Amino acid sequence: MSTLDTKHFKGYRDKLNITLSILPITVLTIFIMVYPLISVFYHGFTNWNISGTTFIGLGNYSNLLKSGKLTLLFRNNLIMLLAIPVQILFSLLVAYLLYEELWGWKQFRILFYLPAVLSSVVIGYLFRTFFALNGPLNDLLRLLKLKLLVVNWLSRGSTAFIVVIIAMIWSQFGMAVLIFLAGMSNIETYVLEGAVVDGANWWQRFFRIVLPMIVGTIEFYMIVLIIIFFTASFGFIYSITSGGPGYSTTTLEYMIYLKAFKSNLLGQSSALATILFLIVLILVIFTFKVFKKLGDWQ
Amino acid sequence: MKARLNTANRLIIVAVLCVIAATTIYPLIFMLINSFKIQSEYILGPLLFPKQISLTNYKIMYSSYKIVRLFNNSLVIVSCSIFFEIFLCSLAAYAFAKAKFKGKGYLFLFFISMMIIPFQVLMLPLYIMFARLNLINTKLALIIIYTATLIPFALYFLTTNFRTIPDEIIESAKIDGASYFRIYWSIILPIGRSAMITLFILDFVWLWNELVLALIFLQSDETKTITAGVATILGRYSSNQPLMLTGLLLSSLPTIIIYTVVAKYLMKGITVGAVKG
Repeated sequence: MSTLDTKHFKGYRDKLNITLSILPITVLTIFIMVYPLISVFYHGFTNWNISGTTFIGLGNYSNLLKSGKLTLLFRNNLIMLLAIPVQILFSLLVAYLLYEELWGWKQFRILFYLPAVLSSVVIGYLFRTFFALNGPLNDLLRLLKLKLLVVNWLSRGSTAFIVVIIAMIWSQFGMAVLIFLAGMSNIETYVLEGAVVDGANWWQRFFRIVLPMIVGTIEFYMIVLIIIFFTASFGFIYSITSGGPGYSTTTLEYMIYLKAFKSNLLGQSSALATILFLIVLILVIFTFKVFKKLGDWQ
Repeated sequence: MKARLNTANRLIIVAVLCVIAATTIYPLIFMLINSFKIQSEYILGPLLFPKQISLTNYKIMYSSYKIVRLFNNSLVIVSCSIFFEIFLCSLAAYAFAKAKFKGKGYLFLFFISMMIIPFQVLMLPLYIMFARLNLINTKLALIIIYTATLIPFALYFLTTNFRTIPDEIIESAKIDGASYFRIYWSIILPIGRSAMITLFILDFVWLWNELVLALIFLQSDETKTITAGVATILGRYSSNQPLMLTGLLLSSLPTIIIYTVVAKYLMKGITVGAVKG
């Protein structure tokens, strides 16, 4: 990409203009993002309330560890991550179906993305209504004489988690399908045509050609999904389970909110926020590594 | 490769796609048909069409839940935030794309690295900060925070777009005596318009649906956004499902309408911008 040569925008006036252009977003970023980030780091080591702070070193972290909260949160976040393979496999198959470019595929693509424009609250409440004890799903199961499957979905941690996960997958899969389709569109047509000539069937083409050729896209999207499941579950959990029953569906991100705004344990909330930030940071660095590897390979 | 399938297989594929599409469309229909029912009719059969159309839920949303005020709050907050975001970021992106100054690369990296900070990490210090400034429960607080959180992506998006504007155009404008801001106003803004429209659409959907920050910073019913309002007010009275479904439907209407209008355009944008590999 061509950056403009030095002839342009030199001289005092332009220097002033450039400063004026960049100053507002710099100020905003420092006050709204950088300062709070430093503040969270610091307060993770303190006992913090509105009246003041006392430094307690690693107290918050050891409290979280000792009370078993941290283990519980990690367990819950790991359960959420189980959704990722399901999400990827399902979206890949749907993308592959669309890739055939059969009747109406462009319209299907538009319909599949629809849930992504709904808010997590709307989706969450919809799912809560749908999976309620006397809700439409159980009604349908009773109608089909499948009484065994009629359970109070939201009253147990395990089934409540399933509802949250399905809601998240449903809201995200349109995006995944679009990304995978974009990846598939880079596959040269003659490769697949050759495979057809050699007698490879539909499934073989999927597993032997399409899948290996978009493995880079899958890797990239998997890391995006991990970040999404770590940082974008709030609305779903808030509206479907409120973290319950007990704390059985409370994730790291939801606990940051509960500690800060429900139990007034600001220091512990900051410690959890620090942990969340570090996890995301590590994942991002990892993403860049993957990308670099891809670059070398190409 | 394409269309090497026989008719039976094609029909199966289209049928499968139809079923999946039904799951994404059906919730909207579910909200719509139940919004015309009263509680007692809903309990009898949530999946059935209403026997007679009742507008009670809409009337309650209008009179008791002040749906118009919630809409209004959302519109003010979302449009102001996006206006400031696009104005400030296009100005900065112009400098990053077309001017030369010391430390440009590092400064740019600084801004886009902010993209990775989840805002749940920042919400508590921000809350304390705005509480000290006495700005909790004001639209201004949310506008400032939204604008700031949108900066990293917008700056990245607009800078990459502005870089594609040919230098020759800017050069000849300079020779004609156009000032720095004159070039921004009459060259950069008109040419970058489609990028800014895409940004507007993406950010509108994102901010309209944003929950955590709206929940924390707007706690009084007078200033709530529609998403936060639906989450809290309806959550409190959710035993009346048809009323809740009406609220959910109304709150999603703006994004659904925008999406229907721009879907084709957006599909192109997302696919082009997606990863290579």
